[in-house]
Amino acid sequence: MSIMTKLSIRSLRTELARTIMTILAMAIAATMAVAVLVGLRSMQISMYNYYVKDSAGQQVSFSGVSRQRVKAFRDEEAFANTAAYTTKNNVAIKEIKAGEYGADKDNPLTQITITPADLKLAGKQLLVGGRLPRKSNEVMLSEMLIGGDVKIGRTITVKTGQDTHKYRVVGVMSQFKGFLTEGQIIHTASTLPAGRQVVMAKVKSTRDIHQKMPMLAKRYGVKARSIIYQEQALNIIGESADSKTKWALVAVVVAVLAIIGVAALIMIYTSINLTVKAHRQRYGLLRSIGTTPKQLHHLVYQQSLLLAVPALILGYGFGIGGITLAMTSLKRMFANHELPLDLVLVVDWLPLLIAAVFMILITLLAAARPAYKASRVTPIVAIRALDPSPKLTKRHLKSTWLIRRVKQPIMKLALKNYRRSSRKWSMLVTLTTTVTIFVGLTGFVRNVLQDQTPSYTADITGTLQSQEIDMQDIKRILTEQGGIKESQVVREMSLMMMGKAKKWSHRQLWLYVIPNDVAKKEFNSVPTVINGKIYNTTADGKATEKSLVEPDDPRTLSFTTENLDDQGKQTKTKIITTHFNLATHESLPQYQLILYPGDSALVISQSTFEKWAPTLNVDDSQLTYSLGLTLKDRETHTAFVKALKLELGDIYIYDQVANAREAEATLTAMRTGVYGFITLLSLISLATIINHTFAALLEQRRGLAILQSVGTTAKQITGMLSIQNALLLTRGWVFGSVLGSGIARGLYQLMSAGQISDKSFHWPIIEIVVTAVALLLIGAVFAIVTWRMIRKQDIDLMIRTE
Amino acid sequence: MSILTATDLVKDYSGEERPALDHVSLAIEPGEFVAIVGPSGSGKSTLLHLLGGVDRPTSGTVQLYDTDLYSLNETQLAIFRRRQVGLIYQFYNLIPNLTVAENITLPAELDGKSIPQAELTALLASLGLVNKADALPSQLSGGQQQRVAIGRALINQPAIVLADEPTGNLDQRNSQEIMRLLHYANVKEGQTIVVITHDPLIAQQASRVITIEDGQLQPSEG
Repeated sequence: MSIMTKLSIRSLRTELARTIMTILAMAIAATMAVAVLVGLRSMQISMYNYYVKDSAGQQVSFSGVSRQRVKAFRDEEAFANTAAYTTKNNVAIKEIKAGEYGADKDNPLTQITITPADLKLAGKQLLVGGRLPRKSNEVMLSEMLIGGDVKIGRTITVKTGQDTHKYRVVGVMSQFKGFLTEGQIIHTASTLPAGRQVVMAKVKSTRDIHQKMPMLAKRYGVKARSIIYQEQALNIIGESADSKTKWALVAVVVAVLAIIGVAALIMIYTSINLTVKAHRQRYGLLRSIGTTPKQLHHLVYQQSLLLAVPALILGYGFGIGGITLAMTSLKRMFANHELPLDLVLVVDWLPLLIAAVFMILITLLAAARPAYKASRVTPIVAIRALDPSPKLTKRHLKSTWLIRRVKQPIMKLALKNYRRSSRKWSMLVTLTTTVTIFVGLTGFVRNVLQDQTPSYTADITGTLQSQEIDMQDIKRILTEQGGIKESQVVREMSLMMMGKAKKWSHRQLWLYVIPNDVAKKEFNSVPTVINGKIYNTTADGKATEKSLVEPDDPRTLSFTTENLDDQGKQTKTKIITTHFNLATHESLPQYQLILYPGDSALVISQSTFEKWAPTLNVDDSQLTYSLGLTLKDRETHTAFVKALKLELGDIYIYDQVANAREAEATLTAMRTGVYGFITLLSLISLATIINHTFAALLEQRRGLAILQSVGTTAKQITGMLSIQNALLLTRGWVFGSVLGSGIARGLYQLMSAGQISDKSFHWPIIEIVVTAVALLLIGAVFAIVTWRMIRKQDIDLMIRTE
Repeated sequence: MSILTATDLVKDYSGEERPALDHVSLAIEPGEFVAIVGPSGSGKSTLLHLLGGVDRPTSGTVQLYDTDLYSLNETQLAIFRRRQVGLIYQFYNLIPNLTVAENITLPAELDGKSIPQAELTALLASLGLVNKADALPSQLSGGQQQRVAIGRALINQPAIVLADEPTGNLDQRNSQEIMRLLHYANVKEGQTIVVITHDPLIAQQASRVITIEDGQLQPSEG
């Protein structure tokens, strides 16, 4: 071991307090880097797993693989597992009636044949209801085909050209998950029929999948364009065809690391710089006995890197420990909220390596200037132990109004010291920056992440477009499901408001058509507008909110339909003008089950609709059933949705309970991540303040010993330093709070860009109070440490030796 | 040929009315034991620092053998100091977290040299520190610490040893012991030594005494 290395290690070991302080400061930075990197990586893999589950873990599908080469292809080393199927196009189901999904001859159905083993491997996740087919006379159908006579337990007739086959429906499958959704009818066979096959595969490594798979496919005569990738999942890990995603992910990591880097750089620089300043005389001595500037330069780098090693190890421990705790609690919360995202903690080498490289780079960068300063120390410093004399102007020496009025000598001395301290400015800047970062960012994030989205009062909502079913059928099916507290069903379509009133022109309005008897009972058969809101942005970017119908507005409404022809062009319809009564959301709680908060609807009877239909150029078939209901027991929502799907297959169901919980869980996850990040960031700055404060205290020891020697008591010195500290902390807190509040408001204004009204912004009072408590705590700890130090220090030794 | 030649040395400190050193010239011969005396603030420490390449003059030159010290850059000067100059301070200036042996061998190790154990033991014995080789400076008395500083100054067998008030912080007995060691190095090893002192008893032991007042050398009395 060289003498310089020995000297580095000995210095660090003998100045344990300073060493520990620096290691802790570095460890906070390392913790932050590790936690953020491991957290991002874990989130990335969790999201990837979530999406790839839709295709049973398989990321790629090859169509057109010849029967002769399928076996060899499936045995390829690159694949972890595979499944294969054949397709038959132009298939129809006899039981599906005209007008229903699957009856359109221009869009015939596709049937998939797969072995039971392969279906079990690749199709389990598709199952919405029932079970997977096991025998050759069983089928699983797309949820879109379910309805009427086509449902689980029934036998259906599948026609392909002249062939007909009878199958028993045993399962209902999702139409939106994975590769097998290419077909709407899935049945199994022990041997696949003749013809080319589609092979789905889970690859062992997704790295460069878009380059590797076409090369592999080419060897088996499969064209590159016949390959389909699970892009949604691959996108998450930056392996999709779109290379921008990969760079976007890298950019996010770089941006986050840059933020941490700046904060860490300031903190580590402060620590190393304080150490170098404290060692000036030592460096001077080393220089006088022949140490070269380069050797001193290396000494500082070496010491800094030596400290970075335990800091990094601590960072790994705290970072991984912290993120494990955060993820465990999030996982529990996700489970409670029935969120299907399974969070997994991924601690692989890449984030750990990046964190290590990051720490080394930051440490080297932070050490650069102090190392340069150390190398510039002249040998004469060793002999003279030069204390830089304070640069004080006459203005500094002049007593202020406050100093002149204060009679208490210790307070007077504290005020004078504070006024004449040149160090206070750098401390004040650090402190103000810290408070600004915490108050500004947390205040902004709290406002952004507040739950402002209004939600349905219904637990379940749904829409269904069907000619086969009437309102009575729907009500009966709902009643048969049981467990419903309240429900509402209407038929609806969208209208476009017209007329002279500018605020109404071309605004969308729901038209609710209800049975005549209900319209008579609830609205006396008079068209009634359920009054919602209009949101506008003023020229100066402010958001405004008004009622659709204000008290002074006329009670006459003109509207037309938004009918589109086959080419997507607006068909010619006439305008209807009608008088209406006005009702509020609150006065019609049953309609709140289907009407989104803030939306408006015109409610009319069936007979009124029939009267208006020719003018509007619409018919009954264009009305959609809209239903909303609350459950007696909200926890039964999943089972209820599943059962309803099996009865009304082509119904679009929105599980509002699940949606609300998902939104809440996502929001909490975001809050955890963002608050965690800001807290760590603030912690870094806080560590800098603590470092500064205590380093200043250590530097003043000799001066304090002189004060003691002339009869100042430990209590008086502690009081004096506490007053100086309190002045500094209070100023930093006030400046930081004002600046932080301004930043929070400004960022919020910038982000909302007039979308959110003024009323929704909350000033960061909580953050300001939290900061005050933290600073009070620092002040108290400082006072205790000062008291202990002053009482224990050897006055004679301090005065003689320093 | 002189081992050390200072020519027309001037050292000005900003803010001071007169220079700390005012056109000082002197020459020191090999094997000389020179004492520089003078009242406080006369410039003797400044002169010593300039002779040792610790500080830079405002003008003038210092030559050690053929080398003009101040024509060297910082790195060259550091290496030169390490090999050719041994410095001893009043307050010892040892590295507190290195042992006695490590403090003594520090200049040699900085130079990448390894001191054989026998050589080190012999040096420690001559300093009376054999049993203290592994002690830290804080475990030593003032006299012992100054002996370590002498060992450190001598380890690289420099061309010249410069001692700034080496006994200024010691009692009579320890002062004599330090002077005995310096004399030993001077007589037995032929080591050139320059000592700054206030103490007339110490100055008497030198082969030549140079007096300095107000930054200027005074004519020699003997």
